[in-house]
Amino acid sequence: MDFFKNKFTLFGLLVFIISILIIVITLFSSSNNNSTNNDEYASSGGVLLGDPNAPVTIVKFTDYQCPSCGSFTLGPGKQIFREYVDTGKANFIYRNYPFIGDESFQAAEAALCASDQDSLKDYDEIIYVNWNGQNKGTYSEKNLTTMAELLQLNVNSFSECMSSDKHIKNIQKDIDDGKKLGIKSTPSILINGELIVGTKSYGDYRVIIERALGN
Amino acid sequence: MQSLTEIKYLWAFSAFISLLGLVVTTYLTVLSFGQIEASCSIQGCNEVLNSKWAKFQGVPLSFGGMLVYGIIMILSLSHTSSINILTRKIILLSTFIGLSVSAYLTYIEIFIIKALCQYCITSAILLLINSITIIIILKKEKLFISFHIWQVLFSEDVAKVSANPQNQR
Repeated sequence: MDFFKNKFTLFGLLVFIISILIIVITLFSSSNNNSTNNDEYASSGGVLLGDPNAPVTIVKFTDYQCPSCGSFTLGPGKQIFREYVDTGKANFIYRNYPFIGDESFQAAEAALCASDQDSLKDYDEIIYVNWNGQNKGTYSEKNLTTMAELLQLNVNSFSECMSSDKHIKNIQKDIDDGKKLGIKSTPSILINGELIVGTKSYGDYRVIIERALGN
Repeated sequence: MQSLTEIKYLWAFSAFISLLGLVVTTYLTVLSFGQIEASCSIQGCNEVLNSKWAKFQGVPLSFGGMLVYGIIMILSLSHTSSINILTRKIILLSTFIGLSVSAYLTYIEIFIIKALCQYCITSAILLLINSITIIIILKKEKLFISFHIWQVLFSEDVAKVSANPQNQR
């Protein structure tokens, strides 16, 4: 066992063990965060779609420039809507957590302006369908207005809403609430208070929703 | 004797580079497991770190990088005072695996995600420097008699002949 008698080797081993310990501590604190039960707090803002009295509440914190949020919205998110929100088993709350850049904030404002015309779900999807990289001008006011036009929204009201900045305070509240809930990245989904970070398969969400439904 | 001292310094240099790589990959693994956004000075960094290629079976690839750098660092430090053929083979194999994965991920970043992650690029550069250093050391030790990695990894003859580089001079 000459290998372990070498003080340099022992030093290397010690450094490596410290690195592993840092990872273990991170994993431990992360799993503690995931068990936060802040359902009421998470659903105290945002835009609610579906039956307000449904037994399950799903809250989505997203950034429109985050590709993983697009994967959720256009993938398992759509299936969740079809299977649970449209059938009245769950309701869905949209909350914004823009952090990637100005365009994230602008897209969030546009989504809320579309929400004023009862088109949040469609607008939310069209934003992600048109995603083409971060902070590259994809979500300029002109492009966001074109998206509203494509969905046949009232463009004048939409533009008026965008220039009024009336939703800034709502977005800021989402961000503040997200921080208090310990949200560090997007997408962060809360299903009756259970936090799921990142995009998982539809099956993973289904298991949690069914459990929340008592099945 | 001068060459032996030089070889020891080169192993120490390899250990130092591995230590830097270990710090970078530990940071990336903490970000991934802790679900924290990276602070990036270039655009597209989080795009890479949140992409589907950043994880394999739910485990961040940076954790694999930690293991590779950890192994190379510990074994390189052991070589500053002893000669062991088996540990050299492990180092070479780890470097080969690390460099292959790193090259593949750099390709994914540039051509598929079309965004760069400063930490991933730093790790790739450190691994490249380390690989070059290790090849230089093995050539100096006359272990790396050709550039055929499999010959060094699996040939018993190479191991026997090169067991004591001092005797060959």
